[in-house]
Amino acid sequence: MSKKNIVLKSSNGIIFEVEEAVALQSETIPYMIEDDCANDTIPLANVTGDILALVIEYCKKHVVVADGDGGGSSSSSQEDLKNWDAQFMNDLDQSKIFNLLLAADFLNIKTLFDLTCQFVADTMIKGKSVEEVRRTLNIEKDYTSEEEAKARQENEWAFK
Amino acid sequence: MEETKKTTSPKVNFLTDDLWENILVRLPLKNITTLKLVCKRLKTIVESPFLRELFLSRHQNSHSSWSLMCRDSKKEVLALYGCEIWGLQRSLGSYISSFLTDRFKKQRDQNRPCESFELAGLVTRIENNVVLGYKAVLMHDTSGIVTRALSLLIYSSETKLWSFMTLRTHLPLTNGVEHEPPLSLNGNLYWLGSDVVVSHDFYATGAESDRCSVIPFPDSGKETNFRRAFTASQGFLMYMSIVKEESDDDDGSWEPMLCVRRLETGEWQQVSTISPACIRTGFEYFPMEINPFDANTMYFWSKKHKCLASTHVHKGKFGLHNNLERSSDGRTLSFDGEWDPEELEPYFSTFVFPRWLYQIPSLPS
Repeated sequence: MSKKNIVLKSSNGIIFEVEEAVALQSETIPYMIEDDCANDTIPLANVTGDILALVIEYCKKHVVVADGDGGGSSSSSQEDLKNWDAQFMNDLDQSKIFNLLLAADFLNIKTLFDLTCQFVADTMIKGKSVEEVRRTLNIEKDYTSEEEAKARQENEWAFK
Repeated sequence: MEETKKTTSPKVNFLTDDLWENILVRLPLKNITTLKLVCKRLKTIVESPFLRELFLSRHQNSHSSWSLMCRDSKKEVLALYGCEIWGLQRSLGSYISSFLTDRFKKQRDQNRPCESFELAGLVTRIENNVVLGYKAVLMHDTSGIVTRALSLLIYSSETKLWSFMTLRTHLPLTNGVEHEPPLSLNGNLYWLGSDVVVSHDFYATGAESDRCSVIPFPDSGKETNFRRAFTASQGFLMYMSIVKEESDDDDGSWEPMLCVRRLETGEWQQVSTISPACIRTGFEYFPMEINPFDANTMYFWSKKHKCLASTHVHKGKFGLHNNLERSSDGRTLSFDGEWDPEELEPYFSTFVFPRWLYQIPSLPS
């Protein structure tokens, strides 16, 4: 049985050809295949080429392991995959991380979505002060000093 | 500094509430609460019922922090902390003792200088896992007097006022009610008397508002092998005792059994009756509490080993614990190795953190 390939097209017109099993980790793509069966190429209007390349890199890595296991996942491959995930996320800058999060949400790839959400929570928010979170995420303070003091007093316990 | 600007993402503003919720739900509650100060939008997201539902469903099987403290000395004997729900890196004792002793004493003295009232407990009003208010209950010391009434002084976080209250019972209460601190559960306080449990719902209205109910012990009259003890676990009042039951061997011998019951709508329901080897060998065990989040695990103090022991209330599997145990996920079970119920007073107050907190209603400044 020959392996079926699927062609994906990013928002900026870059074409990627991937094995079906790789693409089907997305729960959105099957619907697009059904809707678009006359057309060979699936257009992904929300995902740029550089981000789609990352998504595919992630899906390829994860499909290989799922195949090789034959159902019974060995702990070493799970461990390897975890390390690979950590390295994969660490190599990305913040803008890529948020775009990857949006892409994982749009393409509905649950493991990638969980991975990026967890990474954002752990590296950009967890254990950081209010000021640090604002700086890291480029969020503008929209409280007046009075409002901020009141909110701080109401939630005093969390700052101890 | 130009570079920093380039790498910060403008995408953050485009994250939908739903995506924010999926990120925030992975953080401990202490951390989530501080985010309310970042900006107004995050405050709205943090306080939304959607995040609460997501958080509760994610943590439905997780432990939260709890603490078991001696009544008078405020010494913390047993505590679990470092749980992912709250993310508290030190035990609750350090938070609680200062709150109860200093702040409330000051409040009480300023408002009504009544020396003879002692703090009995805190009751909370919780709806959909949100703490809406609390009442601090102080009780007039009537030890040694047979009474049909309990005199209380109550502070309500909702009215921000202190008020006097007299609770009446249809049975005379002998001493004993005052000896053990009451247990706080679902807006009620439960006082353990010498053969009854007296309870009152502090958020009851109408005819119930000044009544207390008196429930006899489930094994009144039977000989118990160790002190009867009460604890709250998974929303129920739990009762534990070791009683001597006739053995199955038909030889007329008696066997000590560990009995655990829980109170459901005014009736005692049997949870388990086991006879683990540790009880049969005759060494003395002192009941401490049932894990507030896992009704299968009961903690004892072992006289023989002078350390903390635990058992599974159904399987009877028994284990001894080190003074400080850290599990792989960062939870820490701490036990004060110096504590000995024969030397130090053995009455406890249990403190349990809820699984979600909107905000702690503040004391008036």
